[in-house]
Amino acid sequence: MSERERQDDLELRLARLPPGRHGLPRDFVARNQRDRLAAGIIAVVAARGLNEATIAEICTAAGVSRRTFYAYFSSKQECYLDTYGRIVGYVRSATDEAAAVAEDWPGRVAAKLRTALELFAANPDVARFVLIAPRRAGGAVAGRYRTMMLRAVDYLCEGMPLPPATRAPSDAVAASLVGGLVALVVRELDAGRGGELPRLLPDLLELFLTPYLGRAAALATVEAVA
Amino acid sequence: MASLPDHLQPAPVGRERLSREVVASYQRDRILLAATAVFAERGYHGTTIDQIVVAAHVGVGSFYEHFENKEACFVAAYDRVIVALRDGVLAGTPDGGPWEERLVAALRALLEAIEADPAAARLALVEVHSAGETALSHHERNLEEVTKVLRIGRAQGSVSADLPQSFEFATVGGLSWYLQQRIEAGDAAAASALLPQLLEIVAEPYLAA
Repeated sequence: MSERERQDDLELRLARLPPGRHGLPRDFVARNQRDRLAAGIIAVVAARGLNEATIAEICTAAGVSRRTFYAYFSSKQECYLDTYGRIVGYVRSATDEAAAVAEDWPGRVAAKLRTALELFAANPDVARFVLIAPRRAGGAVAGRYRTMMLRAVDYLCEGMPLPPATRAPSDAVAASLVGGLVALVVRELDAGRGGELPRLLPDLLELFLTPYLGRAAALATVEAVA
Repeated sequence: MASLPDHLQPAPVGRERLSREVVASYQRDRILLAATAVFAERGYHGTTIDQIVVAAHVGVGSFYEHFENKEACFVAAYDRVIVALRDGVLAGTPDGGPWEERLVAALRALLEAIEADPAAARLALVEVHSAGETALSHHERNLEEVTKVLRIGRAQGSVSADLPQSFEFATVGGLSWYLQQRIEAGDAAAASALLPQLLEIVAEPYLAA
């Protein structure tokens, strides 16, 4: 699937369908209502934050009834976590696909970061939903975000050549690197520059790779791919 | 239940008449200290004004004399905690000498300040993220200040001048994320043990230069 097709696909899947009868098979409608609820909660939470969002607002944005909401989820938090998992899974499959054609570890890191930035740039609300809302909400939702961040560290380090081909920074450095990259992404989103996220790629790549490869090799990768 | 240190326990009724302002500021401090303990223990969203006034041994009316609502109280408690953290770091950092040495001293002092008051550290580095827009904007301003301090190192040639302009911001964002995780994992009371990790995160690019 090309990048453009993928973005179209995500937009399509998250887009609101007109409510009412549409003569589609029952399971399709069901899946579709869940997609609409996902699109609804993404829009509302991106705009107002999770604690401020109400189920009524989510239903209005999704174009479904309150009853439909409760047919799928018992709470706003459950709806949030379900949607969160679907987005992470979607981004993950896109970054996997992009990384599969890269030649080496730095190339795979570059492909993953580039793909994630492009997806978030095409859908800034999704980025806010995943990267900003959970930390500001606190509680269990913040815990889910923490897990995602830990996995992101492992994911980026996957398939890394062993020392001495790479340096071996500690887990603390890896965790703080990913925290730092996300801080840069969040700064752009907060400034309303979500659409320009792919511009961050050279900096993110250099900042992430330097502790593993040293400055010269990190810069060489940036030159080659960014 | 959070308990107050002796010097903040309700004062015995004395013969000296304290001025209104002194009493008010004393009471405000007492509320903020109690609020810090309660926010740290229960989290921002889990805290109620009732819990704060009980811990502070004041009436609800007194609370509202000083603060409009829970959020305003949190912001005041956060600001108070930051002043103490900043004072601790400044006191532990020499005025002169090589930049790298001062950076290491500042990181050590930061960890000692966290260790000395884990509840305060939790407010400053964990709860602030979920306590509303105002608290978050104060926090971002403070992180920006730390970013500027790190930039001095670049100006002094301690770190390569052609590093991305976002290097210091990312370092501060990453450090604050790392410390948040450690504090949530219950490491604040032994924070000094994290010095090697902090040096690796923050100081290595400077020390290796």
